[in-house]
Order: sequence, then C-alpha cells, then structure tokens
Amino acid sequence: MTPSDEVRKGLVTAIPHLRAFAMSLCGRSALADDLVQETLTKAWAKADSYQDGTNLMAWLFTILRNEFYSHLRKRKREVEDVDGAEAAQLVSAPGQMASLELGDFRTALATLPEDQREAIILVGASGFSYEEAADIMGCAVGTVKSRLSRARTRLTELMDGDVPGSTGSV
Amino acid sequence: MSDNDGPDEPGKHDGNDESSADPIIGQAVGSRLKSLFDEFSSENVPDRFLDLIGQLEESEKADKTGDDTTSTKSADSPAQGSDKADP
Repeated sequence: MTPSDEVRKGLVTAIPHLRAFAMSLCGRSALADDLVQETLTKAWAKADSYQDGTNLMAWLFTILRNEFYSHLRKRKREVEDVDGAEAAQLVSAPGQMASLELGDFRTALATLPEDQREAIILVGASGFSYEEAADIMGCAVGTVKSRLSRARTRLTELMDGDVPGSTGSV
Repeated sequence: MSDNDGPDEPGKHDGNDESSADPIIGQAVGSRLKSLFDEFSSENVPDRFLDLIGQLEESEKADKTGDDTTSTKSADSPAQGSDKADP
C-alpha cells in the first residue's frame, strides 16, 4: 500500500514528463492536468502493484494512457459529437500546411488517430523503445511499428503539403 | 527537472537529435516531436501536483485504508478541493 521511496521520488520526477505526454495527447488543457492528477493519485493508490526496479516511467505512462482512454470512452458515451467538435477546433487551418512550424506540427499531430498519435509520442518524443511502447499500449511490437509508420506517413504528408502529386490533398 | 532524474527517465535521446532519430519515424518528424515534447516538459510544474503529493503522504499517515478504489477516491477528493480553495 505504502509507496516505496523509489516511487515517491519517481512520481515527482515524472510530473513534467507526464504533463508533456498528456499535453501531447490532448493539447495544453485542463484535461491534460486532470489526467496527470488522476495518474499521480492512482499510482499512489496502486503503488503495491509496481515492482521496484522495473520501469517506473513506463508504469506511470501506462496509467495516464489508460486514464486518457477511459476519459474518451466516458465522453463518447455522454456526448457523441464532442470528439468531432474538439478535433475541428484543434485543426484550425488545414489548408496551410506547407511549412509546419511547431504550432502547426501540434495541429497536425492532433489530426492523427489516437492510436497512431500515442505511438509516435511514446517512441518519438518520450524515448521509449518499441517494446516499452507496446507494453504501455497493450499491443504487439509489430502493431507499434505499423502505427509509427502510418503516423509518419500522415505527418510527412501534412508537412510536405505542397509536394507534387499531393497538391491540395490536405 | 534535471537530466539525471533516474534510470527510467524517457527522453534519453534528447540532446543528440541528429544521430538518434528513430528509423521508422525519421528525422523530420522526430525532431519536431522532440521539440514539442521538450517545450511541454520544460514548463513549470503547477503547485497543485506537489501539493497533491504532499496530501497523499499526509492522508496515508492519517488513515490507512486497505481498499485500492476507496483510497483512490478519498485521496482524490481532498486534493481537488484544495486545488482551488486554499485553506
């Protein structure tokens, strides 16, 4: 029940990374910070299910990720259209993707399906291995790779929105 | 937070973006992802989270409930309450 010192210290250390993960998943928002808060609380309560010496950050990311999906499921049940409305808000100017600055990249990221987005964030931004990402997402390593590949293709299309052959496609 | 927070810290390839791009993700997308993540993770941590840790520690000392779900709830509610309304 009582978190070990490793978990206590790890929780504090992890906060900026958990926030970054949450904000990458759902934008800089109250929801992101709520997810972090839920994650810290859950991690504290479930501390006995964490084995000292194993990958604490992956364990915490898994909790946050599960919180995110349970939030999505809950919200979809409540208001069927909210997802679409929020996505539309995030994707403000789909026609101007020629040269993506960071803000635009964030917008592009938001257009990815959730499974691709989390895969590319976990591996490309948070620095987890394919195996760790597979563990966190509860899927096979091959699935991680194919999600990464599709995410890259999609983001690259958005970044090179003006290359021959794809004019006006985004 | 410092760069030497612990063995499990993700983002270990920060700092040498050029050489460590993931082969599937590629350099162009990878470097933007890292920049975005670094921007987010370098933001100041709101006090609410450190307060929360403090409260979890206190509530644990105060009463040791045995049930996971119950303790999640009981730890959560006071934390959220004090977030907005400081005593």
